[in-house]
Amino acid sequence: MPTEIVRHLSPDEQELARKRQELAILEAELTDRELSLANLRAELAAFEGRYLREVGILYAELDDWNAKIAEFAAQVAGTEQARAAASDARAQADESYAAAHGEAAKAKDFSPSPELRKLFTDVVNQIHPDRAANEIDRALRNRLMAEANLAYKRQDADALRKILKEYKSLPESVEGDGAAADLERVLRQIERIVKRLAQIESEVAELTSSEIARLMAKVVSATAKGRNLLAEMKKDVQDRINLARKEFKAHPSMTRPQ
Amino acid sequence: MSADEETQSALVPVQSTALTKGGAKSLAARGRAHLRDKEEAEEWLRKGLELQGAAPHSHWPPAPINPYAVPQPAMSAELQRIKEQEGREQLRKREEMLKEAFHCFECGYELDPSNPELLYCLAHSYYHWAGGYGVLKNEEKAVSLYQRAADLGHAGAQTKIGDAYAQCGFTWLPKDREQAARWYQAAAEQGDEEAVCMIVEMYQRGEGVRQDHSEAARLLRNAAARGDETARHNLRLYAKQYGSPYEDGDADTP
Repeated sequence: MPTEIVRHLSPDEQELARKRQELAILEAELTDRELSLANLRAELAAFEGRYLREVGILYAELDDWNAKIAEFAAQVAGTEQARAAASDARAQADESYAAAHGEAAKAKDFSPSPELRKLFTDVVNQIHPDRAANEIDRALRNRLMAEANLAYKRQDADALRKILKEYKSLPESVEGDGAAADLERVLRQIERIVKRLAQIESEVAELTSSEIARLMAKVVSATAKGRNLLAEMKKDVQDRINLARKEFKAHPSMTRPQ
Repeated sequence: MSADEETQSALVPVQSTALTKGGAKSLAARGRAHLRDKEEAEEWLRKGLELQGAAPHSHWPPAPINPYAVPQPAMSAELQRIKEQEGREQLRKREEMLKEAFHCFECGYELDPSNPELLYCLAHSYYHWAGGYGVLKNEEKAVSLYQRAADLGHAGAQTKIGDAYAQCGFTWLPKDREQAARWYQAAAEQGDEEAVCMIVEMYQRGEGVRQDHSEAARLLRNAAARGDETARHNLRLYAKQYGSPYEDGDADTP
């Protein structure tokens, strides 16, 4: 009869094993959720860039024509009310111009390669701040994670590789200091991950209810039906620009010597 | 700032500027409002067309008596009264429905002034429902709306602008055969059957364009290939009349 030496785990150790298992499951979920959040952010930013470049600049141009019309009208009428309307119109035009030509408009199309996804998943697995062993480690992980998020959005695989390398080579990344504190640490980690998951959930909800996300949902569902809504919008706004230009040129003040 | 808040802000550096800055957000909001308006305008257009299509025809007021027609036995005074009442009732209904359809087109136009079909329908209301139909005939307005729809590529409106320049039912624009030919051509290329008839005749007569039977035949053949029965018929007719340019085997095969 084979004999086995069975080491009975103490209640503390049993609890630790259970909690470690729970932590592993949560960590896998966290990786998954962080990746989908990063994808959502990047997709929205890319769509926003495309929208601003294609339609946004036309709105800005339309606003500029409308502001010009209002300014001429104010010159002719000379009333306080007309001047206020003109300055409102100009403010709107400036705002549209800044939005349509700002940073957001430069976002490139987002189509992450499997390699990029894998790299980002690795970063989340190894560097996520909620897996930190201590506060110093945590601060470092925070910084690297923020960089990784930016690199993923830029689709910059090299930067992600560099981040992984940097973390591995740092002495602070050495984990663990004795078994006694293990259970305590695992519990803290679980608590942090649960909190972060809730944060992700609320951020995803906020992102998906944003104007740009709703606009994107509309455009995407129309594309499935064979309609190109962005092209239709472009055509509409261009038509309105043509009308405004015509109105501006036909404006009575244009014929008067200034 | 607590440690948690710090984590949060560190993890959210890539948040879309649409969510943080007013400008891009308001452009996105504007885009959504734009799409909403477009949809609503489509809905108004659909409703208006439905009303327009369902408006009953009325035999009142009666057509002028044709002096060459075979005389009909006179109606009894009672029957005549009933017919008249019926006709008036139908006419009232028609006016009401067309007026409502016009209102629908106007609402749609308010929301989306760049919808070619809406522009066309509104122009049609202004042009056709002269007096009595709730909308005063306004040719100036009709022509300017047709022109906008035509500029946006609406084939029917392009034909109307062709008609206007040809002074065919319109008086608002000065007669200009070259402009008329230009717009008929644009509409014919898009498959407007009426425009095909007009431009083909212009090519045959050399009116507004250089006389060119082969171009006329090309337009007819294209139209016939699209299933335009009139074009097919005309192609056969012209083949007999003018010969070779219109003779091309496959036009006769359906």
